[in-house]
Amino acid sequence: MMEPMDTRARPGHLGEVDIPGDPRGVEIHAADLRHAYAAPEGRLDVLTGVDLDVHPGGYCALQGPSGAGKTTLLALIGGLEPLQAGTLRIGGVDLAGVGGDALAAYRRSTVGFVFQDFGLLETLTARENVELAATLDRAPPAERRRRADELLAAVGLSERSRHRPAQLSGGERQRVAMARALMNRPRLLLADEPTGNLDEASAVGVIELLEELQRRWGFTLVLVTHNQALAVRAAQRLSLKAGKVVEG
Amino acid sequence: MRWRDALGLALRAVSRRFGRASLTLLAVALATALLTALVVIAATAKTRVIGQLTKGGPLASIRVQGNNLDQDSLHLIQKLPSVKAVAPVVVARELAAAPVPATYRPGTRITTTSEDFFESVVGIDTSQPDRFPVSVLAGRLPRESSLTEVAVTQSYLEQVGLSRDDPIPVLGTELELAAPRFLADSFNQGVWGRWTRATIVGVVAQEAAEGDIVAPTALVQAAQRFTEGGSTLGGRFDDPPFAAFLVEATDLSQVGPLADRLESLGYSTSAPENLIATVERYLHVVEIVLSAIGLIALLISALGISNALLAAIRERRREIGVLKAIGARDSDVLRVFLIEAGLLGFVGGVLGAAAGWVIARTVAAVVNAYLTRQGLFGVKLVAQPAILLGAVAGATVLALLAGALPAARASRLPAREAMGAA
Repeated sequence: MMEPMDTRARPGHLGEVDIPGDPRGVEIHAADLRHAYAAPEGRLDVLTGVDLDVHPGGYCALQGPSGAGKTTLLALIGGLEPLQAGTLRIGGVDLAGVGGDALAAYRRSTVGFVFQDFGLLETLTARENVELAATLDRAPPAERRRRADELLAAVGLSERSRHRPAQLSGGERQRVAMARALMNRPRLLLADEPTGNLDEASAVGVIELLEELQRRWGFTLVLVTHNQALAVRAAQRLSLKAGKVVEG
Repeated sequence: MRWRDALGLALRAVSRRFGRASLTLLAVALATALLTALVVIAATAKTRVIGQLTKGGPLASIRVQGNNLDQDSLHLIQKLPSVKAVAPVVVARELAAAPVPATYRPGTRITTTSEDFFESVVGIDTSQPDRFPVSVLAGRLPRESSLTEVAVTQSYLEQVGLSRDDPIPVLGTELELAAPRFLADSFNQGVWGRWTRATIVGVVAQEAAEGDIVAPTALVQAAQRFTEGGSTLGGRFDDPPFAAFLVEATDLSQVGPLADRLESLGYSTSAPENLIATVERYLHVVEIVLSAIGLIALLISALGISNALLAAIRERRREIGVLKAIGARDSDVLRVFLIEAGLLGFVGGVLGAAAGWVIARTVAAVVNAYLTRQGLFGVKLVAQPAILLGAVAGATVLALLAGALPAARASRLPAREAMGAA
């Protein structure tokens, strides 16, 4: 199941793990997901039995109060955290059976992340930040540069490709982060409060762009947001309360 | 991630934190400079000193002495295998008279008034001073062909009431020497003196033979011929043609066998093998001490690298998390941080090795100036690429070792760091 191969995403492939079915978006299926952290005051149960299903190419908004476990759920779906208990299948593949370099390949090839505070490397230009995902995938320099230029054009930042993050506005930085998230043609895009650090106008612009890209490329989109006005734009709305999912 | 891309990321990270990186670089460079300079100096001292000894020269010569040293002996020894050269030393006992009244420059302090005294005049081939254990302390050696120039030792200065530490006043003054010739069978029945006047052109330290006056061979042999023309008095003035031969072996390993061969031929010898072994031991100790000082400095700089990287990782937890979130393997992160450490070590090593070489040259120049003032041969610093390359490689490897723990720690950071604390 884990033979060495080109780990770049392609239809029907999850990193080093073959995924059957729809080549565009992946299905997310979580059942009785539980997760806890060790804290000085004792065990902190964050997820207490999450059940979740998002169909391939779906658009799901995840809401909930602070500390409800939204970010932890996103981290589990994105392969940033090892599973502790429960079932989590992405494109039919149980992530409990994936670890180490295979999990890194999954993050690199299947998932794209957009963070609230952008997560751009300050030492790199906008284009180099976008290229970074492909750099980690050992893509040839010419190919990754071409792809980065295409993506920067898609998010309307062709003219800013040589700028460093400190020279960009918040909205521009988030658009660079989105371009980076799409660099390896992910089948699942996870956005953790992507508009949290933006003003209202920029927030709407970023979400509209995200939705436009999702429509165009068909990836599954999970959006964590506190903003009710943005959440209602999603086809599927879920809320997390006390570590469990309730329909939004 | 490819090595080239990891190098690019590491370069960006180092250049971004230039202040901290330059301080770390400085620490590595200083330590490498210290180590390089110390090792170059120690190695030069060893190779030069031992090289001089093993190549021959006065210290590595076998001293052959005895009352039977004549031309036949000279020819015999010259033809022995493993003999590179034979430097004969001649000695004549003469009556020495310092100028009365003294003609030293005004103001020169004289502690006693000297009287005439018998002294051995040591004759050497002054055109080949390297072959004899003679060091010029002031002035110069007499010219080879001169019959009117001599050099004196510091003991001579004391004999004539001068300070042994101030050789300058004696230079240019005159000295009268009288070679004795006995007219009859008894000392009391008459002695002729062949008086010659010589100018003191130098002050030397010498171990060619016992005697406080050093002269060209021709001057001493002329005195010997005059003395031999008279009667003998039980050998007192019956000097052999040669007081000693300084026999150079073709190399140091031949010194022992050659000395044995000369002993078997009936000559009395003394060889410096123990001296060389002792010098080697001392130089080795010096080398160890100097290297240890440099290594301690390098170790401290390695701790600096480790500390700087640990601080960088504390600052960059989020960045590392983001790298992992977008697909970096543990090995990718490890590679980036190891390259950062290696860069600091390599660049610091190059700067340090260059600075160390400059320091070593400066020290050599100061030492040379001192040696030259003392009338000794200077030390020529030999470019030793192995030491310089070794310093760069050593600094790089040490930096990689110092960076291994922080890099491993960085590589183990969870990808969850990308999303901040839970």
